[in-house]
Formats: sequence, structure tokens, C-alpha cells
Amino acid sequence: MRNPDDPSDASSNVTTSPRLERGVCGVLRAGVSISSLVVCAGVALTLVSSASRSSTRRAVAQLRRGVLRPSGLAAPHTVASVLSGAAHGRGPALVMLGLLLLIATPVLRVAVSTVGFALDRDRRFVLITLAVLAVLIGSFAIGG
Amino acid sequence: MSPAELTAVLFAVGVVAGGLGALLGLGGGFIVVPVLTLFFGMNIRLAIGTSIVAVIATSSGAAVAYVRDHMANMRVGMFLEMATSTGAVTGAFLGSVLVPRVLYVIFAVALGQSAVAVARRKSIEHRPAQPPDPLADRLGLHGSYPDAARGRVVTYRVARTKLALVLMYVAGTVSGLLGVGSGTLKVPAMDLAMGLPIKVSTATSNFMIGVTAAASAGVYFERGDVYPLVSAPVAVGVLVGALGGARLLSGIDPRRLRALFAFVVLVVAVDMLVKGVT
Repeated sequence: MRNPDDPSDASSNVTTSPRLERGVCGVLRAGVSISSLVVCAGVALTLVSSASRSSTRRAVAQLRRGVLRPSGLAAPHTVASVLSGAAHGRGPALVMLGLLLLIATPVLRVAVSTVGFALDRDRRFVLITLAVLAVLIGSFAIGG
Repeated sequence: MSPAELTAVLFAVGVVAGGLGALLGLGGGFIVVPVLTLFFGMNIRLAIGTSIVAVIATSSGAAVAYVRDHMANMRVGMFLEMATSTGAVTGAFLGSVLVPRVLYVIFAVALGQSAVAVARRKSIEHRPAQPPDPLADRLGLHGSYPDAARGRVVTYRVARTKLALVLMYVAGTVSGLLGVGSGTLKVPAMDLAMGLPIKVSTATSNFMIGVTAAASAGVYFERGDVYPLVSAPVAVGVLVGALGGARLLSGIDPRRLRALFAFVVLVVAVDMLVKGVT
């Protein structure tokens, strides 16, 4: 919403380009939708799977007693185990894959911004977004 | 409680937290963590891991509208994300060495701060002159936004960028430690220190929260503090509540709601404090 009659509008501000805004919005929208779908599919699979019904019940009871990692229904929490579990169609692994995609959404948003700033030849903001990206990827690499 | 019942109840908790959060300009984490621990008896680390994932969902969902409508200042947001994400990693690691009792006490203090912040919130109409900020000039942080109430584009200048970086590091640490968006710390840092208009501060805070939360969520995920049966329904519920809740609740007088919220949050803060010290 630009106001052509306002002289301060044209001169005073460096703004981000529409291309960058579209990219940021697109990656956020796609990330949230895809991850929600995967999460919902995983929850449905976990609840209907008869194989895991008794273990799921046990896990709920443990959760309500303050147990952090229920033994009733173990959930994968490394990238490799999440991927292999999801590939085997296991519900809990599929949920964790969806949550992982959700966590990755802001990271992708920063990566898309880096590309956008590079296309706009905004060298300072390429460096700034790269620094943020390094912290995000670093946190995941040294977590666990 | 059967697994299906738990899923349904936690989804409902998420919807309420997301709706209230959207209405009050909070992420919902301040509601999710106390409900999971005090009401459901869950481990506080699981509650924090769950909350931080839900916070990413709301921020990412809401950020689209803020960017599209030019309310969020993306340059300010991305610049300050350097500080918030570093703070968030600090907070997540701090959380792994602190015993749960201490977490309860810190959470109670943070709740008290947010209750006061929400109760006292008002926008500053006439600001004193801003000191010059060469760093903000060099990075092109000054901006403008369409003000619907005034029917024109309002331009603003940014100041005290370095002070804001320090404040944002603190906000990031609180976010990473407690699994909340810490919007109640981010908004004043931009509103009061940097001199951004309150609407821009709120929008930019929301824009940044997803990146801040992602920095600590990775640590929580890999540590095993995110659990499918709990984290998934809460995250989806908070997202649904945040996107639709503000509209559903629009009939309520926001001032009365803020007063009620401040009261409820103070009661919860006392509960968390009692749980921490006894």
C-alpha cells in the first residue's frame, strides 16, 4: 500500500523487494500446510493402529505421571530414526516427521531470505541472514 | 483417559491457547506450559518442548499476513534474529542443566512480567525525538507501514539498535529456556527502545518468534522432549486457534479480556511458584 502523494514514502526507506516478500510468504504457507497434514496423518495412524493400541494406552498413563520419555510407546527423536520409521509407515514416526518439517519451516524461511537478498544485491543482509542460518543449523547439529 | 480422548482434549487446549494468544498478542506458550504441567501432571520439560513447537506453528501462520500487509519490518526482524536465535540456543542449553524446580520458579517470574505487560499495554502516540542511529541508517532499517485507522502510510525511524540487540538476546534466552515466544519481552524492546510503532513492533515480534523458537526447538526435539501424542495435538490446535480464534472472540471487549487474563496469569504464576518451591 504505497501512497504516491506522500513524498517521504518514496525517499526515506529501504524496503524489501516484493519478490523477497512473496518467497518468504510462500515458504511459510507451504511449510505450515505440509507439516500440519503430515502431523494429522501420523496422529490418525497412531490412534487407529491396533498393533500399538495397548502400548499407546500405557504411554498415556506414564505421561500423566510426569514420565518424560514413556516406554509404552517410544518415539524416535533423531533425524535418521524419524525418517526410517516414517518410511515404514509407523504413526509416531510420521508425527515426528511432521513436527520436524514444522521446525524446519523458519529455517527455510531464513534460507529463502538469503537468496532474496542476494538477488537484490543487498550484501549486508546476505551476511546477516547467513549468520542466523548458521546459528539455526548449528543448534540442530550440536543438539541431542 | 484413552489416547484418543487425550488427543481431543489437548487439541482443544491448543485451540483455546492459540485463540487467546492471538487476541492478546501472545504466542500461547504461557497457557500451554501451565496447563500441561499443573492440570495434566506432565513433565515440565515435555511441556516446554511441546510449547516451543506450537509457538513455531502460530508464528509461521500469522507471519504470512503481517508480511503481506507490510506491517512487519522484515529488515529489523532479520537483523534482531541474530540476537534472539543465539539467546534461544543459550536458553535451551541452560534448560538442560537447571533442575525442574528452578524452571517452575523462573516460569512464574516470567508469567508475572507478562501479566503486568499485558495489563499495562498502551500505545505511545507522541514520542520524544529519537537519537540518531548510524547503524540503523547503514542497514536501512527505517520503514513505513499502512495505518488503517489513519488511512495513510506512516513512516518511522529506528533508534538504539545496539541496545535492542542486547535486549533481544535476553528475550531469546527466556524463549529457549521456557518454551515461549517471549513476545512480551520482544515488543517492549522494539516499541520502547527502538521507537517502532506498537503495531509494527507486535507484527515484527510475531515474525521473529518462529526463527527464535526454531533455534531451541531443534535442541528440544533431539533431546527427546517432544512427544507425538502430546506435542502434535497441541501444535495443530494452537495453529487452528490462532488463525480462527481472534475472529471468534472478537465480540469480547479487549480491555476487559486483558484485565481478566492478567488476573488468571497471576494466579497461574503463584501456582507455578508454589510447585517450584515446595
